[in-house]
Amino acid sequence: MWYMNEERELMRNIAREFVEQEVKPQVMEIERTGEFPLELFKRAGELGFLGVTIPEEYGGLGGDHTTLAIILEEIAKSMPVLTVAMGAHSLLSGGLISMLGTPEQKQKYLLPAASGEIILACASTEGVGGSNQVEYTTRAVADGEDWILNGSKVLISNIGVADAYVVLTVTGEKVDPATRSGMSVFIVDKDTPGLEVGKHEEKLGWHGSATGSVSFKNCRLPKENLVGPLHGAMQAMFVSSTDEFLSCGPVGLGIAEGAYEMALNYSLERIQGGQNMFDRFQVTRHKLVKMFTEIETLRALVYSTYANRDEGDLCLAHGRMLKVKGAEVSEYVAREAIQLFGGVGTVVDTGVERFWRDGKVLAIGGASVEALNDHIAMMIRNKMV
Amino acid sequence: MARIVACYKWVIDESDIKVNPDLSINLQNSKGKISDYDKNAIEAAVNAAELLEGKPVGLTFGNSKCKASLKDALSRGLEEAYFINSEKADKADGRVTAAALATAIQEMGEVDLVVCAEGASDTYARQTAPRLGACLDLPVISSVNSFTIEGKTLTAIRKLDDCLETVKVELPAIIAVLPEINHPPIPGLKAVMNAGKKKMVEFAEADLKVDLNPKNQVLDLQAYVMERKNIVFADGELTEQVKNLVIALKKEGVI
Repeated sequence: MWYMNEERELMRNIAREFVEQEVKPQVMEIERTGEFPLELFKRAGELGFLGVTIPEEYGGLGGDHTTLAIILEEIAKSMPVLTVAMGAHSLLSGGLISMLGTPEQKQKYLLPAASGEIILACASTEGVGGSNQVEYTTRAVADGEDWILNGSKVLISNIGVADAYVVLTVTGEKVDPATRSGMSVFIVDKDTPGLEVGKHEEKLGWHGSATGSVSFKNCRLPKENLVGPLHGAMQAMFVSSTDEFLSCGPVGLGIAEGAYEMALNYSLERIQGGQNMFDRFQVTRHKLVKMFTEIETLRALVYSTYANRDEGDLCLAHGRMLKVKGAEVSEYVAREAIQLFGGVGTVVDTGVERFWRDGKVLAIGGASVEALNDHIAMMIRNKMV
Repeated sequence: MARIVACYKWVIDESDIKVNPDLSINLQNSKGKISDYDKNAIEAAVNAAELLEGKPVGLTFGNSKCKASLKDALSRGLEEAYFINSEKADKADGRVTAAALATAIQEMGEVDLVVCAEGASDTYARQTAPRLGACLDLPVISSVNSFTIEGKTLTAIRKLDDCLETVKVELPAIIAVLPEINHPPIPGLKAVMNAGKKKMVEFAEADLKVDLNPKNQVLDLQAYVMERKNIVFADGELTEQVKNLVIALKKEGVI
């Protein structure tokens, strides 16, 4: 592959070793119980997967975005939900602290986050307004040198297991619809009085992602917990969320590859009328060709976009395109894989239908493809692309 | 400082090997990797170096593509990597491999311990350690399941077909380790990045002044495919099914 070099190939192989030896044996158990894969998450930290783009001085690798994409793709081939937890931790939460945090905040939160010693969650989405910050009601009000936080967030990843929550909240009089000025970011430690963590929601896909609501009732936060400029967090939030959208490209690619590989192997092994399905049925061959073509098309978009990201381009439109395309391709390929398996494809223990469920959630979780298409349309309209 | 040498082989990744309909082997698009068993040898060398407070180094003999293995090996805890670069490695037999490795080891200077895997994951010929012992005139302990080192004495437990044998040897020596001797840890990404900063030494064929022409030649390589008979014993009660199974197995000469 054109985007591989010796170092990236070695790192990809390490991710493969991790998946083969440690992830695969746990996939179906996590799928069945829905428990957060804490042990695997910690191992991902030990191996350096959580700090790929975090600067070396804060315990990260100081590596490039393409390397991160390669690792996410490998893990998503077997356990997409682990990459979801990694994205919320490293890209959304870690990204904000990395961009906006003081040296003290980076030392306290980013350094242990890079090694997986602590887990971070990013609390942004609200019940009313979804991802539209103009309608957010979670608010922090100054009280002497402290801040008092009230409100609630929904569908937040890594709840309960997180040691600290990076919370997007209203601090201004109102939120400017154009610039989104009036939003600030605070860190809320897990033991802060008034922080309440809801139950882990049972979901269609992403079993084990520890997703649910968090609420803040008169949480008193010292001023040191304000991350970045007062009222001015949105620019960094836009960048970190774009990096998270970008990650849906390699994650979608991994999901699609996982499902495709299972379907291809099954079509070569399943004998019908004395012949395997691949050789016997043209429709099987053509389905697999179309699936493979979609995968390779997505791969081209993923790694060309990541190459631009490594050049310093924020990839505001292309990042959103990766999430849209990643969801579309993973959902399509996994659906076709189930179809090729026939009846057994619908059986949970076969292990193929979970890819479709995870692809479906990818189309909504974090931001729906419809919302993202609107963002992209606005960028096209304003000739920003 | 004590020097511990881990010998490893760059092999074709088994998962990339395809069998053609005529049972010939298709190696198109195949990639290389460090033999899985040699990862055990590398880990054993790293552990031995801790016991001896010495330096673990890697040594491999391969074609130019094998150079890609050096950073991988170094990321697994080795401090230096030595590479004998020769296209003749592709057709090397046990004698040639051992001669090349032995000459390179002599070039390195004093060595306290050489660690090999019992066999490589491609041929599992089990030739390297004993032949290396002959070339270097060093004692060899094969089938090592575990070992300890006190001072300059290495005590090893050999796992044989029907017993465990404990033997001791004065270093320098050579050991061939079994896969169950350890669980090689997965290196972290930082170890990969640091690997590029470690010392790598390349020996050209001419540097070693050793005959690398094999006396054994592989003439043909064919895949072995097990053909299944797919007989299902479904008729009658369970006891009858078992009885029919036993009859069929006896007829095949299996039991």
